[in-house]
Amino acid sequence: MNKNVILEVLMKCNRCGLCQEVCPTYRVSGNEFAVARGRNRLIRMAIEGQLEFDKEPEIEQFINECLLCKACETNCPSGVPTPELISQVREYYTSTKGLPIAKKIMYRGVFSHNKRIDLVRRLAKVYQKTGIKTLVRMTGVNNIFNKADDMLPDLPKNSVRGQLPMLLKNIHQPKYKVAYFLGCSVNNFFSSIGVATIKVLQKNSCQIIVPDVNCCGAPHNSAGDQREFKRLAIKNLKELAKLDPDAIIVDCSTCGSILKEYVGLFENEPEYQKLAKQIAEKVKDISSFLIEIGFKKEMGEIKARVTYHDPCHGVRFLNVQEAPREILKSIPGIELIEMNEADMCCGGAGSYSIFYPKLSRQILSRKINNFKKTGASILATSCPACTMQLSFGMKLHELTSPVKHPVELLAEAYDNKAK
Amino acid sequence: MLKNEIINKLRKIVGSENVLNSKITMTTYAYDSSPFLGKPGAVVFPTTTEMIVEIIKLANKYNIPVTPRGAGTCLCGGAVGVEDAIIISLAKFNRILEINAVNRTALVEPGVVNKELQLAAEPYGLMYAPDPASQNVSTIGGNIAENAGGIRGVKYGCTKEHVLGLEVVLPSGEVITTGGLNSQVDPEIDLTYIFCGAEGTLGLVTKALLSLTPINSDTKTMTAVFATLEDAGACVSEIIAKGVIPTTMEILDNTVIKAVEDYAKLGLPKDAAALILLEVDGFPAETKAMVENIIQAFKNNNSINYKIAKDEKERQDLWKARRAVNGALGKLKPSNVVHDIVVPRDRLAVMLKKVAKIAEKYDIIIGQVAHAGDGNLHPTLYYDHRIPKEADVIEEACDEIIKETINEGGTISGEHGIGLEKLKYMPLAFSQPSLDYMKKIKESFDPENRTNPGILLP
Amino acid sequence: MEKNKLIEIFKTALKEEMLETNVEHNIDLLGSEYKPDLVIYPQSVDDLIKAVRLANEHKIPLYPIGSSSKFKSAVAPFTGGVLISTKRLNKIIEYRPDNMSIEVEAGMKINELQEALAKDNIFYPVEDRFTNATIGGQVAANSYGRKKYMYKSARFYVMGLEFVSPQGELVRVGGRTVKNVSGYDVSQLLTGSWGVLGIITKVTLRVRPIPQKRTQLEYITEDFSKVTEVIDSILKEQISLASLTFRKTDKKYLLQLELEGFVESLELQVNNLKDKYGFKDGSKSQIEVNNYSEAIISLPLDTYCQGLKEIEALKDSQGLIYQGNITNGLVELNSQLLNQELVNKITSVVNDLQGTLVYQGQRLTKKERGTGYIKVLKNLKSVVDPHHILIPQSLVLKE
Repeated sequence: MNKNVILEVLMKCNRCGLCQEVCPTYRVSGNEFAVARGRNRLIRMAIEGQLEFDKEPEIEQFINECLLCKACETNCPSGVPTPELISQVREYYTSTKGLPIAKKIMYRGVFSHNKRIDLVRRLAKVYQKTGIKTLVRMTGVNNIFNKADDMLPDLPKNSVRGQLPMLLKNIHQPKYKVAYFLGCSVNNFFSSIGVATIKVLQKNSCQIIVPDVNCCGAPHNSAGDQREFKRLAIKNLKELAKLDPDAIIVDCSTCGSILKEYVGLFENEPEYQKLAKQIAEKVKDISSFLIEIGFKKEMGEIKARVTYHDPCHGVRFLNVQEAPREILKSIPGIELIEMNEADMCCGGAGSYSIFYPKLSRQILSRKINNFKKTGASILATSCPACTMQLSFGMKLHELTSPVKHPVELLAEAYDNKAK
Repeated sequence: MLKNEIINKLRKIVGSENVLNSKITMTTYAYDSSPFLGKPGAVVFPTTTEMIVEIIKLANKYNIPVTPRGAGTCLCGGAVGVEDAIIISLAKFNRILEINAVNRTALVEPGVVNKELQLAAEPYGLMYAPDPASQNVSTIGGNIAENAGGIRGVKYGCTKEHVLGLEVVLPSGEVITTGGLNSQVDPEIDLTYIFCGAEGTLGLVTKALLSLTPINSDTKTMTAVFATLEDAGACVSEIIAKGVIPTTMEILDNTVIKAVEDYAKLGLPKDAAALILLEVDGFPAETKAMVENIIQAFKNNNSINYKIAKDEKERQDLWKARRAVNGALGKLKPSNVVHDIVVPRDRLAVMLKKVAKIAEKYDIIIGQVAHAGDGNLHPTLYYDHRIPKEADVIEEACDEIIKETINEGGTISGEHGIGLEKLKYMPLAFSQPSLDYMKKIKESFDPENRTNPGILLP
Repeated sequence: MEKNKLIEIFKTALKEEMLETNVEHNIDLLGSEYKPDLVIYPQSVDDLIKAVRLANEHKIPLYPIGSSSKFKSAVAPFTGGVLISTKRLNKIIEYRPDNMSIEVEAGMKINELQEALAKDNIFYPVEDRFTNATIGGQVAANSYGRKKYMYKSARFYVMGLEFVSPQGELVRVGGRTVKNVSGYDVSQLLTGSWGVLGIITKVTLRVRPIPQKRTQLEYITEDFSKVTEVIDSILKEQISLASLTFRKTDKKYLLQLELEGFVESLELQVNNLKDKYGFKDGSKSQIEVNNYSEAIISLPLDTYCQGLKEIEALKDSQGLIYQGNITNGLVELNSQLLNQELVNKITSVVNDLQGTLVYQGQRLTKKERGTGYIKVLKNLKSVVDPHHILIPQSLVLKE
């Protein structure tokens, strides 16, 4: 953490307060320590020596309660990059104190290893489907993870990777050669999204390769575990470098953003940065890619009113906003309606929902209420982390509206035509 | 720090989750949008008038000062409070109680964000006219305390012209209701207006009855570029002299244009000396006539070119950029001082020029944005507070600006308030008998000087 | 105190020509229940200051008056004391048409002010029924005119004041600028304070361009339900409505509608109103309601028609409703037709509709402002006027 550099940046904040308008944690709590200018003030006072990072647990708490959604930075007239500042402070805490045990288990213990995620999924499936769930709940062990088990979606039987032999086809005279970055969430929790992505790409004459990548490193990065983040990044870069695709497709906005962030990660390592830049150029969100290539419009009908939730990583990191909406509008029968605060964070923020459940649920409620007001029957979004959080929100509000990726709806529309 | 006994009593009144008193949380309530800092003893979040009455009574019993706080975006230091004050945040006291389309009124709690009220009134074809640049975050209570102006102020006036009545908790803890809907038919003194602009020193507003204005069917937003500030200022005078009452008329100088363009990327001309941004509204026949007059004024005053916004999006983009001025300028140097001077409109061009000369004289950066339509200028002076000489120079420059303002027959604060920032200028602006009269007002409302003490009166 | 003694006291600082004992001759609008000893006509603000200081020193009650058109409504009858008139303080101090502002002395008559402004196609929008009304009086009473719906009341035009405090200090507040938040808004406190907090000597007013056109339309019907229908509907129209008034004679209702604004807009609006409602060009003189009449009701707009209906429905209410200014929420009653029973019933009706009823100078409806209200006002009065010399019998400080 370069204190002088951070201080120069911090002083651009003149406390105008406009961040209050868009910061989700401020909107639900009304507290100054839950908004950019408040968090910036704490960082500034700690760097200037009026407070001490290590002696004030509340500083760490408030720093960790930031969603890193970037709404403040986008709305800030001075362009203060608060999420970046917060990330640097978290990195400082992690490197001096180490990760808290729960995060250590989850991130380094499970997410860093593909095989372990697979195992956890299968165990969790058993947990969900059998009486073990009731047992565990009775013991209250699940409380350690703040009843995270509640937030889990109905887990699929097979991961996407497990189904690849059946899904992937040889395309005759393909127009495009793409690599599909299969992220952990889609692979393990929302395989229907992965299945749809593969279907749609193949329908549009793309030959798909699915490289053997590991977690992109998003959770590790958000927790400030830079060491592990780099390790995972290097593995991914090496794997992706083996290929020469026209595009690297992501259907998870978070993975897409993180892959592009590898460039900044290797600021001081020119070899890897060169690789990262090459990769970053090719990374495309599925919706953007489909619009670019002019996807096939022969489809059947889906009669529904749909509204779109912008994942933070989509709208503010990848700058994807119009493409998913265009895809939805192109499907006959779909009435696309905008919801209020469509681009406000859903409160999921990866594992934020597990570690900061109160704020997460308040923000989620706000989102679901905005959804309700549209009268839509389907909520569309392009990030499985959002999908998990929003599905959980539907459950909490006793709604049955499904949460779908635009590519899932497109795949369905293609299928409907065939019928 | 306040004693535990007090904190516990406060917890009993508002609930423990609505009392903050840890060192770190207090740090985030020690500032507003001014350079001043306080040192709160506790922050409380009441949600009813009764809670506020209890808090005031408690403060009275233990002789603790109180300071009301809305969004904390005060520009003159009015929300930071004195040491160990109880900061009464109205942020959660924020319901819109009623919108009455026949009476064209809204009854709101003080924590309602200005923008929320706009959105709530819109379905009725109504708007709440005062729209300060901070409207997306500032609260009605704060707007009333500072008699906030707004970009629409030229035509629609500022906050006090839209307040019909208030419910106030007096420093004694008594609750009073002022004003009302009905035309006066028997003599009575209306105390509503002494609270507007009183900066929270005479009592706490707990309800406001506000007047709403019909949204006019036709709006035209225009920009014009000028090679000199004087030309722009003269153009403004001509528009007013022609009898045109625009909804809003703003002048941005070169420093401001550049800073805002970096943020908004609207294609504003970064080499222009001055930009006029204006809007007219009314029935279509009226706006057409007004636009014609305005274009004539542009031409008569050497405007380099002019544009009319072609659709609502372009219009919104222009106003978003304008509202971002205060923040956007923040990145020029680590610190800045914003002034809020008003001169009679026919002296606007002269004053713009004088400020530019002061910038030259002291060799400092001053960005100027003005609510030209009502003669309200916001010269912003930039400096690095870490360099002691710079701060001194800025102080001198400020003093000179204020002196010139008074010479021109103007006033030292148009809409930001006196707060802490302009205390030292009060004796320049008012004679001793006038200041004494104001002191008597304060004395009669708050004899113990506990309600937001230390501001407004030197 | 004896008249002669009074004159002796004031002669020490003022020229004899400013002192007048023949009160009745000079102040014709006051009734016989008011028996001051002396009228002073200061020729300058300095004179006025000297008079106030002497009054303080010798504890002599002082009553500032302009044209005295509003005096009786706010002051209880008294004997003894000194009237202090602004009659000779009637100059224009500073006129800035490019700033749309004018500073005048308090004794300037409204109609003289309008004449001075008319040359530049400018006007001061608050009208007064009394031809000799002064600006000082208007401001002290926060007057409003028939077109309050469009132009509001005096306080919205006061940019600044100069006044003499009850202790004889000269205070200048506000200024020539339309925006001002330096210190307390003392101008707004003095406005509508009916003279008890200080004697206004100068007012800086914000003025406006004269509207291009004024149109009066009328609508006549015997069907009461039609009246309330039209009223409800008109209030929802997007028109440049300046006033909507009515008068009832026998069974007939005459509605008058005034529009003010741009020529083209008005033309469109007039055509619409004629087509849609059957309004015709106005042919009668403008209905003018007396805000301080003997029996007057003030209602919020949203309960106005309800109020009319309920009063019409009362037993013995034939001919009771005389006329009203709908956009001002006012209903003027024929006071000769009132008896105690009717008065009680109407009080009840008006109370339920959150309105105000004033009969024979007494407010009969309840108004809950909280005990702190009059307390803080009295507090303020005691602090600024410790010897209680300025209008001791003021009705505004009555509990």
